Amino acid sequence: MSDSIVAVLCDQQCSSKGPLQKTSLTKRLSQSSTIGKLILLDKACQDPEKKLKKVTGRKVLFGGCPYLEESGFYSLAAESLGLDPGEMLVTDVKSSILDLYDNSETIEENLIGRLESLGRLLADSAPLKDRPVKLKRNVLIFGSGYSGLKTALELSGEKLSVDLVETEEPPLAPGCLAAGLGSPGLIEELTERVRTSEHVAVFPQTQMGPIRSVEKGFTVSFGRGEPREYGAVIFAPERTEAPAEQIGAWNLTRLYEWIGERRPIKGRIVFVLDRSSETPPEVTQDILTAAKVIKERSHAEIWILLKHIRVALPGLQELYDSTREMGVIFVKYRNLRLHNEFGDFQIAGEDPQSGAPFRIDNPDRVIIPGTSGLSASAASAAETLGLRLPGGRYTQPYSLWRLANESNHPGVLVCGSARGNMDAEGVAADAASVVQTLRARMVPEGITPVEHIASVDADRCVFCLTCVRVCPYHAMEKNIEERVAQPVTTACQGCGICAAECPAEAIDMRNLSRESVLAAMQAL
Amino acid sequence: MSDSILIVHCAEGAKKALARMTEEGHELPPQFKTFELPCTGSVNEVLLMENLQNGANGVVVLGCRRENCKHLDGNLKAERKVARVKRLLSEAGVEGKFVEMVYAAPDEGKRLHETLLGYLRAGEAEDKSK
Repeated sequence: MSDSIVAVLCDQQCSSKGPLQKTSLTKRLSQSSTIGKLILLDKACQDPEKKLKKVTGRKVLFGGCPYLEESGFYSLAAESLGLDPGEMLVTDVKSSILDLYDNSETIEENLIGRLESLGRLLADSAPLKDRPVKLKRNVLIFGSGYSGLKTALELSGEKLSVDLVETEEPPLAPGCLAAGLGSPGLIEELTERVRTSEHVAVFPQTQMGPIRSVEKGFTVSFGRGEPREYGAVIFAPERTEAPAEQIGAWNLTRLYEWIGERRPIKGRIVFVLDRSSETPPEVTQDILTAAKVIKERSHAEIWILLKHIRVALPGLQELYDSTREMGVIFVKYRNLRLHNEFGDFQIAGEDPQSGAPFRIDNPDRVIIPGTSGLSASAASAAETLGLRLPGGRYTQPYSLWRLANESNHPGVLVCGSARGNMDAEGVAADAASVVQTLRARMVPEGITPVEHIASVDADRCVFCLTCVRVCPYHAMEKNIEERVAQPVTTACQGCGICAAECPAEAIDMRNLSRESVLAAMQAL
Repeated sequence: MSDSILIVHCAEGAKKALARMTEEGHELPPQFKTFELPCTGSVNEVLLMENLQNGANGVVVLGCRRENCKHLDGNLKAERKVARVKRLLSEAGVEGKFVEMVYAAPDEGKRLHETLLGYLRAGEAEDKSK
């Protein structure tokens, strides 16, 4: 008998097959190379303390019924014995041994096989010294628009401490939400709920100092207060829009305000796209949504002048079709001339194919979208947070939307309109997604970290990124500098799919290596 | 291990299905051995082949119901590997050894029992025919 591992089993008195017999089990275990001692707990459910005292400084293999697991017996025992997850294993001997086979001889034989097999696994396993990095349970949300507020409310139910930075810009800009095209008073209602929530503290952006990255998180000081520490920062900035051309035209922000005021809308409204440069499809989506809402509410005549129709966004083609069906007039142009003479607009242009001229006389409103982008403060925050963006610059909102919620830093998440135009449901889903990601990464106190997390052997990794592709939890990251895949230990759930799929066999699961699994199977 | 059938099951749905099977009073013959992994997705071809080489008559990979894998599609990944090993076995002309993928939901105790016994019967029939 080896002396390394103690098997602590409930003797299964309640089983219909009769209790386990210590004498014969010990006799059989004397041949074992891994199990050094067997302790049978009679009445395990009532009084295990006395017998558990005999277990000191060894790895323990626990066995019992599912009830014992549900009752929390193993975690209590592990706590009182000071056992780390790598120093113990639990097996359900009732349903997978006693109830599975019909006669006592087979049961004993298989039980010994099981103990021996798991003993080998346990012998190879190591205590979890490198516990997963726990993000601090404080969250900073940058942005007080619909997505920022929604995320703050979602997180306030998660027993996290949440600070929200109210951005300098009024929560207005993009999409149809803030413009009051959604429910009227939506933003006001959410702001009120956030302000009255006891889990959320609101700070004005004017008081906010720079964001500093520290080990395992970030610090920010507000006003003259002490720096506050955060485990995660949620980046939910507003998009802002530059004023339209100085010819009396409105930009989209002004149009939204007008729609939000719910005053009667009538007359002839002309949108001019592709004026100084190509209008991005996201803005086109905004415009079509606004046109649709105006059409639904009134009998206004709507013209949309553009150079090209671009539909490179999900749902944009359908939006085009539905607005056209509603009677919105689309006109392609070249050589457009736009004048405002004492408040009267004159628009003239040519058909790009035939060259035939056209005129639109006396439109009541002309709307030209201004260049939209991140506000300067949001852009500098993005820069401090180290958000790597596809465009290489931080001030391009239309490259920011391509980012997933999860950025390249485990503590930085992006949500809401910064990732693209979304409707109310989209933003709510985004907030839920952020909460889910944070929940996985902020391991709460008292919860055992996952025992089998992946580790990558950098010498073997060929950077094929198979693991990045197959991981269901996005827990594998690309380390582009070193050309190696690396696990996000806080997100890894220990399923082992990456290790099985890795063609270079560069990934091993902690305490569940290929060799020990094979040895354990062999011992059955 | 020799002449046995190894059931490699996941720690989620398939484990519950096995427990349900025993709760319903369905027992298995002694040839069956069970081994638990976090997810069947962590099975690979080498593991399956090594077990057959080490004397197991067959390996049954028992995963969650198709759409119900906790880890999204670990069970489907396992199925692909099982299919590959099956093809390798048939190409190499190996007889009397098998690998199978079985899906089981936690309420399918009886069906699971019948399926597992089916593999044993098939093996016995093959032996007699020789």
